[in-house]
Amino acid sequence: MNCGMFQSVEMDGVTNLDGSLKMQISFTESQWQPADSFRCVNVGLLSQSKGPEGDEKMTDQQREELAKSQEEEYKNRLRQARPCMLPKSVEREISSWLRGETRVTARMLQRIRDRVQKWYHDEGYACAQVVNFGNLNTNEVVCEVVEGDITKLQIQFQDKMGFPSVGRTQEVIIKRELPDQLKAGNIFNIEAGKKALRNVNALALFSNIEVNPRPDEDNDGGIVVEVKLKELEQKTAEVSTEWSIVPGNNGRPVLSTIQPAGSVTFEHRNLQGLNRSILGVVTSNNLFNPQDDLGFKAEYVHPCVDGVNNPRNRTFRASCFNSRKLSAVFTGGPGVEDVPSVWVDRAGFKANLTECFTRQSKFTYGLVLEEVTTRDETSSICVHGARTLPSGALTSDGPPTTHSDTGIDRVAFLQANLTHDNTQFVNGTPIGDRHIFQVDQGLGIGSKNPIFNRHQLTVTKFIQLQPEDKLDPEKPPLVGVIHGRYGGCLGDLASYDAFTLGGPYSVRGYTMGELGAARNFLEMALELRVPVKKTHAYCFAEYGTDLGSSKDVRGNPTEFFRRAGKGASYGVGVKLGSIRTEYARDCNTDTGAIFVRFGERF
Amino acid sequence: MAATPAREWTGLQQFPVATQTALHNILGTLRQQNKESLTVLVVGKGGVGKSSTVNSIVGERVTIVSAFQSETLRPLQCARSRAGFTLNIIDTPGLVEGGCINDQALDIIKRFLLSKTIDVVLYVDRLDGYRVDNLDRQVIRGLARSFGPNFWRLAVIVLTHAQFSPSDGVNYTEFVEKRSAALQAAIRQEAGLKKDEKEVPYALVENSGRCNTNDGGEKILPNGTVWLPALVERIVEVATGTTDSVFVDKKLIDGPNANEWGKWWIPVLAVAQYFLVVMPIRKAIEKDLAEEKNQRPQWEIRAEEFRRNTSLYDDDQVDEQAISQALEQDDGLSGQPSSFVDEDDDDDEF
Repeated sequence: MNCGMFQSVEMDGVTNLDGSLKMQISFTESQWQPADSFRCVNVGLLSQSKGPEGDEKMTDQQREELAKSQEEEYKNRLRQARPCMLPKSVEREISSWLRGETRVTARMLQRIRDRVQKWYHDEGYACAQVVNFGNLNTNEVVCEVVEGDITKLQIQFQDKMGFPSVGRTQEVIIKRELPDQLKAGNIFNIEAGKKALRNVNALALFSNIEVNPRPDEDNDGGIVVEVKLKELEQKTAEVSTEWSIVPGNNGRPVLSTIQPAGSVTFEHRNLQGLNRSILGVVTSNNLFNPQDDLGFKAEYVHPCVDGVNNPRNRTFRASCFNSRKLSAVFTGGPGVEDVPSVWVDRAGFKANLTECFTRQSKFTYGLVLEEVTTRDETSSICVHGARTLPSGALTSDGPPTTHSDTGIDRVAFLQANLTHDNTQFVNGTPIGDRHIFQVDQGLGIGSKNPIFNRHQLTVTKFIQLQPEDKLDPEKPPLVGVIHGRYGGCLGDLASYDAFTLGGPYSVRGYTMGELGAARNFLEMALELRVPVKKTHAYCFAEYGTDLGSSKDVRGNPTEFFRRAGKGASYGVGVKLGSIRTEYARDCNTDTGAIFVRFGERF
Repeated sequence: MAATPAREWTGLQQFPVATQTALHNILGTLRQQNKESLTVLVVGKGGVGKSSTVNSIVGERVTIVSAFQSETLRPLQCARSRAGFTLNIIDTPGLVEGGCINDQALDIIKRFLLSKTIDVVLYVDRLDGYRVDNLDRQVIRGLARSFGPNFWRLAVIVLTHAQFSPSDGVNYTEFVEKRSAALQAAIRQEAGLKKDEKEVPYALVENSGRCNTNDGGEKILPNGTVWLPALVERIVEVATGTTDSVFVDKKLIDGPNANEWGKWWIPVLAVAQYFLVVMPIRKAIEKDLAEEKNQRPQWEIRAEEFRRNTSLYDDDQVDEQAISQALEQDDGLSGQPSSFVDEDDDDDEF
């Protein structure tokens, strides 16, 4: 009776022949005058309306006065209530229900309540609730809703057990990443909570993040958003490995051609609670012979360069590096075996600023100071490339390896990289565009005052050729990929900086540098990805050319090592997880081989 | 790198009188043009008869020639002068070794020619060859690349072993035409000569002692021509022709320094890169951001509207409060005027 839904309830008990008791409950629903319009108001944060107080001993006049004052009070309350978010379309829908009935019943009110709450919950307002119906005996039914206003945002750090603890991270860093819709004064929406989770997760400072709303005890109808965070260890060490299989002599992979690559990372993160970190990385592309390709880097990362309160997202990075790589400029073409290798050691320091516009598009600019040393296999400095003559003798009057002709070059230059990437994953495969422009500008500082402008422009377009399968989100759609890359250099070009053609990320089917080393180059690739069960198979065609600029590299290493200068390849492959297995046919020598690689080509 | 100093051209006296007279006249035209010396470079594949041709022109055994032995290993310059005119002939090692072009030989030749001027080039090949293959093209290309475009404009094709009767009953003249045309076409293609330039001239040579002679004792070819004066005539035609001689300096040997080329354009390039590449990409990024804003999910749009409405609402509330406060003040202050109005109303009613 007290819930207000029923006018009268009667219970009859009837005894049965078998001794059981049959209960009969008959009720009359509360009814009110018919109405033809419906309105919804947000009564969050208002004090609860008091129910009608009926005193048995009141006279009629007093009851009438009480009713009038209650009406006045209610009208006041309505005036104080805020407009709600329920769209007019739903209000009209409910009004049409009311018009269809001769009277307003409790059952009707329940239907209205369910409908209103369904709309709120579908749109993500998980804390919305219908608390009361008012104006029941008038033409207009008023529905009072508490939508879930956020009154407070609390950040709570937890230790490994889940008990509250003091966190190292400064709250400003976390509050920067929370969307505006989670701040006090907004209605809580579960999507805002999810966005907050994603953004805070991207900081990579926490092992566990929870965003929970709970009712505010101090404010009726208010919601407190609690963000619970478990911080990661400040000091970590990590080892990661990957490996690829390259074809052996007869095109078939052999155990010795399996190349495991790996890296060991030490990181000391979240210095001063401001997400600054120092990290040291040691990588090798061939763990069996780490001295072949070894790199070391120590880096300091300082995000929020413009200040924690500035929404501009710029990160400062400073690092010293030391790496050793086999030069692909001094390698032979097909048929020229045993070219004495030249190692390029680069050691130096670089500092740059990175500005992130979106999660993928960014602009990096900075300064690099490096010392480049070219060594031969015996680790002594070599100044010229070498090759074996047909007579068997070794000639060392090949192309000069460094700009200063001494084997050691010191150079300082400005480096900038602008990446525009709007690729998004559609059913597991990326669709969109990616444009990358990179330029190295020499300043005339260094050995023999090198002034140069080396630039590279990469354009990749992933085009969706078929609408995606919405029913099966794991089946990728048919995708076509167009890729082009142009690079050029104006000014002093040292041979170790020349662009090499050929290789798994240049023209597939050729080994790195097999097609030559050039001053300007152009690469093009086309790939068609066909969905096959839950993954895709693809066919591709690639072409690379040096645009005749091989002779413009000092000493013409392309000609010296008898490389073609340009070449094309085509083939087919299939992607299994993160491994690509492909068969590529080399058009210059008309041979094919099977390759197994990790990661993406584009 | 042996170079014998200019000696008296005694070999001339060995030639038959008719040949001597012809040579004298031809060389006279050079003197008319005030050319006192001529440098001739003899190049070609190995074993085609370069050294033999040099010996034939000079008239003495300047270089050692042996049918089966490995030939000239180093360039050899032979200078002979006569009546104030000096002829320099440079014999070179063969440019082909082991089935591919011998870069070392080319290098040695380049270094030998440093600071010398080339007036005429004799490209020697055998007449009794039937094909112009890839190797020949590589040689032509290599020479063009090493010495620049004018090199082949100074060339005369010398076809040795010209006392040759072609098989299959092909006419001698026809054969010569076809063979020379093939070489001329290859040179035109590989050296990049334009279509309107005239063809490279050719000359026929027979260096062996078995060469037939005419009544005057001059060596003649199967078609009756005396080949030595004809060869020298071709040489002089080129020397007095329109093309300039090629001076071999360090720059030519090292190749054009691509590093220096265009350095002054770097600032222009940097500015161009900024406007033509960086700006469009930045615009594309901004377009992405704008599109992201347009495609915001409903809840974000609604939140913004809600905030706007609430702030308006709050402003309204503040306004309402201010108005009600003001009204209260008015009521307090002006109790009189309201009664004043009432009186007026009463009057009106009346």
